[in-house]
Amino acid sequence: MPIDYISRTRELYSPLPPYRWTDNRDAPVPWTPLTKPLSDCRVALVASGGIHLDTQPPFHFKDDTSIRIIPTSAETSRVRIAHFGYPTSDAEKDPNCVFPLDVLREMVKDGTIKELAPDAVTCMGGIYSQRRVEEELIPPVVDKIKQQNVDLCYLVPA
Amino acid sequence: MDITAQVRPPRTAFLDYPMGNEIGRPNRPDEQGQIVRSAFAALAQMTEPGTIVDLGFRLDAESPEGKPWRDWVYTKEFRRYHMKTRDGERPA
Repeated sequence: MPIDYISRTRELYSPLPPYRWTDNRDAPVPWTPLTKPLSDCRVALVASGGIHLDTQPPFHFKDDTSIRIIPTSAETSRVRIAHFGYPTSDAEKDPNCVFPLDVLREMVKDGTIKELAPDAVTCMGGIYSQRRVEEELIPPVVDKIKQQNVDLCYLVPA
Repeated sequence: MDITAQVRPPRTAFLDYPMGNEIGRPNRPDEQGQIVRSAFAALAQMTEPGTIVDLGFRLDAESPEGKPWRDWVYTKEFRRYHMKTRDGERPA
């Protein structure tokens, strides 16, 4: 039985007023059909687990809407984690837990996917302001993905 | 999954693992490989906008007190043990 995160989060952060997640149930789902086989696809990686390179500043935890650009050729050993909203010790041992660079690179090598977009985009998803997410965080993410002419975008939460 | 069902991304591959293990456990490249590959393979089933597919992996792991992980994640005890505050410290 998957965990009921909405009630558990409410309990965890009580007595603060309950957080209201975006509710898109009455909205149309944005949809682009996938018209190519995976082996022909260029795939972009976007991840919200607070992932950055050792040469980049870490994220802060008070509605940080900045992004990091991480080359998908980066050495996994240079990847760092900065987040408060999930237990990060496993990702710190092995960033692939929230940023699957090694697996995706294997999938290119064996032809499962054609290629990876050269740049992955990351953020620290623990942002309470939906307005700031829409106005500040999302536009640069979308721009970076569009610049790379991808067929598929793989979004990994954490 | 409850939050995802409300947010309704175009396509979702759901992994029933704890937060922080969205691509599996550390230093287990085979497990991570299976998870990612099955997510991509699930694309073929996702022909309706808003589809959520459960990848079917299950984790048999426990909290330090021997409780099943599902009972323990995101409780106050869990947060004290495992997470940080927004000031970067251990919660009280």
